[in-house]
Amino acid sequence: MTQQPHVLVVDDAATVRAYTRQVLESDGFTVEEAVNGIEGLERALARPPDLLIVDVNMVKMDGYAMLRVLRRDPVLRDVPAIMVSTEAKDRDREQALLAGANWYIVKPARPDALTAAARLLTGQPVKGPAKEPAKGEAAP
Amino acid sequence: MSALFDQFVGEARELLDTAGASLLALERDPADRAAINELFRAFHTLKGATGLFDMAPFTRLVHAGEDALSALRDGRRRLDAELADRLFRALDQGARWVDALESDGTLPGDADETARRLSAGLTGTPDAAPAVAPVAGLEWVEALDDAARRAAGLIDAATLTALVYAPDPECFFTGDDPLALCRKIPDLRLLAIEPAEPLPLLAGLDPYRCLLRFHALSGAAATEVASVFRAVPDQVRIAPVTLRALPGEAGGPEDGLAGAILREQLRILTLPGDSLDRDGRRAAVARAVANILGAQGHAVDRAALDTACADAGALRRFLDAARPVAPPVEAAPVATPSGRRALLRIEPERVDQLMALIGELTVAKSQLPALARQAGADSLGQGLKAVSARFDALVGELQHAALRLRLLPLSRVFEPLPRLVRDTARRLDKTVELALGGGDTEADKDILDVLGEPLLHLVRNSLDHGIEPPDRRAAAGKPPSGVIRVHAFQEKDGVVVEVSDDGAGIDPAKMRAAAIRKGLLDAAAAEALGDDEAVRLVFAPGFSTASGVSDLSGRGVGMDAVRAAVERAGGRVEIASTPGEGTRIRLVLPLTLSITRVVVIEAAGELFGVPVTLVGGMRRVPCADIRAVKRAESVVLGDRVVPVVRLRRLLGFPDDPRERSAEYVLVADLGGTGVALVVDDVRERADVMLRPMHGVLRGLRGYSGTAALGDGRLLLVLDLRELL
Repeated sequence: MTQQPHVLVVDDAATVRAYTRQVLESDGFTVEEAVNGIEGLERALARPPDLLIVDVNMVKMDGYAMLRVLRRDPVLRDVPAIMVSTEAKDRDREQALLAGANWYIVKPARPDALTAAARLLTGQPVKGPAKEPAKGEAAP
Repeated sequence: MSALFDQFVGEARELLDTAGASLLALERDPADRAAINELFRAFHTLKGATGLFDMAPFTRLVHAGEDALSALRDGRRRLDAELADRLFRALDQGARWVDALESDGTLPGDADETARRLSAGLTGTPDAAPAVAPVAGLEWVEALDDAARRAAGLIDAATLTALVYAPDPECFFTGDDPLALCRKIPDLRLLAIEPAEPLPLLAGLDPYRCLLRFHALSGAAATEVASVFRAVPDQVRIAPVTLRALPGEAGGPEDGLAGAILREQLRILTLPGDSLDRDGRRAAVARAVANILGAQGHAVDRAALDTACADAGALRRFLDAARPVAPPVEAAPVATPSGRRALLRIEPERVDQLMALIGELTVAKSQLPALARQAGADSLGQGLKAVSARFDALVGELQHAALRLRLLPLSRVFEPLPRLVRDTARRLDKTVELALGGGDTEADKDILDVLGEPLLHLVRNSLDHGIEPPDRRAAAGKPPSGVIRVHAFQEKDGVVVEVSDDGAGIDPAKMRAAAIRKGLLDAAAAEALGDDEAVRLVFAPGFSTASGVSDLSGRGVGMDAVRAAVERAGGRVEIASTPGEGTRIRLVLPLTLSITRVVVIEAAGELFGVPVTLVGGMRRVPCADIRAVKRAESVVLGDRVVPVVRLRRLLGFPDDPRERSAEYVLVADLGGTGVALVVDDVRERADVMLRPMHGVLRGLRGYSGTAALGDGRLLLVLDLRELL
C-alpha cells in the first residue's frame, strides 16, 4: 500500500475524536471524523476508508446501527471496523461483534492499543521496537 | 498533548452546561425523555473524555452520576429534589475541577475525597475504594503478568473485583470449605492458591490446619463477591481494581495482539444472524485477516482465504497452514499531522493592542485631506483625495471588524440564571418560571463582564422581593407560579437587558415612608416626590426595601451597586413598577467599552463628547423659557421641571458674549428628571475610541477620557456624573 491508510473515526465526543486523530496521525494514518452513524455512513460512502473506528453511543444513529448498515453495503461491507466503548463487559463486546465489528477496545484506548490494532487491520507493517523511520522514508 | 487538553477543557465545560440545562428541564418535567437522554449522554461522554487523562476522581464522579441517571432512565429511581441537588452538586464540582485543571493542570489534592463523598450521595452507597490505589493485601494484582491479566480480562483499564482470602487455620473445624467458597465467586476469572506462610517440612505438617491463601479476580461487582464471604468477612479483603498495561508492554504491538484479533475473527464467524448479516461479517473478517497476515509479512492467497471464511473451522485450518515469518521491523512513514480547524483563542490584550493601533491609524490618515488640499487641484491632489477616501472606508471597516472580534452573545451571562432561579426558588418555597429571550444579542466582552453581576442581583431580587409566595399569589388572583423574564435586544445606541417579573411590584407610598424612616429624605421632600421617583429610590445608596432581609439579596451588592456598575460602563438603569402587577428594570449599555458613541458638542471653541447612552434628547430652547430662581436656572421640558446647567460655567469658561434668542440644550439622562446642559453648538454623532487620561491630564476630574475624531481632531469626553 503506497498511500497512507485512511481511517474514519466516528464518535460524538470531540475530545475523543481529537485524541484518536492525534494518535493515528502521528503513526502515519490519515484521519477523517464523523459525529454520528449517519454522518459516518455518508463519509464512508463518499470515500471508503481503510478502517473504521466507531463509538457505541451516539445520537441519530449509534455505532451498532451504523455497522449493521455498513455490513450490508456492497462496497463497504468488508471495511474492517474497531468499536470503542467505555463498557468492558463481555455482553458489550459480543454486541459489538454481532453488529459487525472486527475488534473491540475499551475506552480510554491506549495509544499503542489503537495504533497496533489499526496497523494490523489495515495491513501495515508492524512497528519494530522503538525505531526512528529511516531517512528517505519521510512522508510525501 | 496540550492542544488535546485544551480541547478537553472546552468540551467538558460544554458538556457540564448541557447537563445542567437538561437537568433543569428534567426537573420541570420528569417525563421528558429527550432531557434524560441528553443528560445521560453528557455524563457518559464526559466519562469517556476524563478517562483519557490522569484524573481518576473526575471519572469516578461522572461515572457515579451516569449510574444514577441510568437507574433514572430505567425507572429504577425517581428524580426527587434531593437527587437533583446531588446531581447539580456533582456538576458544580465538575466545573470547579475543570477550572482547576485549566489553571493548575491537575485536580486539587482533595479531589479523591470529594469524589468519594459526592459519588456516595449519587449512588446511595459509599463509593468503593479508589480504583488504582493499592489496597492492603491486594498488591498481588499489580504483580500479575500480562498473560494472566489478559486471561482474566484485566486489560484496557477494565475494572474487576479482586480478593484475597486467608482462611482461619482452624477453619476446617468450623465447617468452612475455603475452596468450595471460592468456587462460588460469581464470574470467577482467576483463582490462585498459595501458601500463607512457608510450608513446614512434611514431618511437621498438620493436615488439619489450613495454611493456604486464595487470590481471585471476578468480573462481578464487589458487593456480589462480598456476599459469598458473608460468613467470614474478617478473613477476606475485597476491592475493585483497575490496571493499566505493564510498563514494559507499551513498546509496541506483538503477535499477542494479532493472535487475539485473529481469534476474535474466528469467533465472529460463529455468531448468529441472518444470511445478509453473516455475509457482511464474513467479508469483513476475510479482509481483516488478510490485512493482519499481510501486516505480519505473510503472503496471502486471498481466494483461499475467502473460501476459508465460510466457517470458523475452515478459517482455523487456513490459519494453521500459514506459518508465521519474522515480522518486518521497519515502520510505516510517519505522516505530518494535517492542519486542524479549531477555534482561535486570542489574548484580550492583543485585541486591545489592535484597537489602539487602529486609533493611531485613524489619526494618521486624518492628515491626508489636508495634504490633498495643499497639493491643489492637479492630478496629485486628485490622487491624494481618492486615496484618502479609500483610506476612510477601509479604516472604518477595519474598526468594525476589530470590534466584532470582541463581540459575544449575551446568552453567556444568561447561563447561570436557570440554576440561580431553580435553587433560590426551592429555598424560598416559591414556584418561578424563568423566561430567557434574546440570548443571541451580541455585545463586547467588557460589557458582558459588567452585566454579569448586576443581572444576577436583579434576578435574585425579583425572586426574593418581587415574586410572592404561592399562597399570596393565589389570594391576589394570580397563577401560583411566578414568571421572571430576562430579555435582551439591541437598540440603536447599545444593548438593552430587561428583567421583569409579575410579582408584587413596588409601592411608592411604602418607598416614601421607608425613605423618611431611614433618614434619606425629610417628610416634605418625600411627599414632593412623584411616584416614579419614589420607585427609583431603590437605587439610592443604603436603601433596601426588604421588610425582612433574607439571606439572598441585601447581602454584598445592593441595587445601588447595580446602578453604579452599569453607570460606570457608560450605561443607565430604568425602572417601572406597578404595585400588584410587577416590576420591570432595564439596563441600557453601550455595545462596547472600547468604542463609545458620543454626541459632539462645542463650548468656548472646544469640542467635547457626551456618551450617547446618557443623552435623553437635544433641542433648542428659547432663552425666555429658561427661568432663573436666584442663581439656579430651570426649564420646563414636557411635563417636567429640569435644572439647567451651562457647560461653559461648569468648565470654568467665560459666558458666551454673543446675543442669542435660543440656546442649544442637551438633556442629560442621569436618572431622575435629568439635567438640561446648555452648550454653544451641537455637532455630529461619532464612534470614538476612548483613551483614558494620561500624564498631566490624569489629575483632571470630570473627563472620562480623550478621543480622536475621524478627521484627527481631539475630543475630551465628559464624565457628566462627575461634573453634575
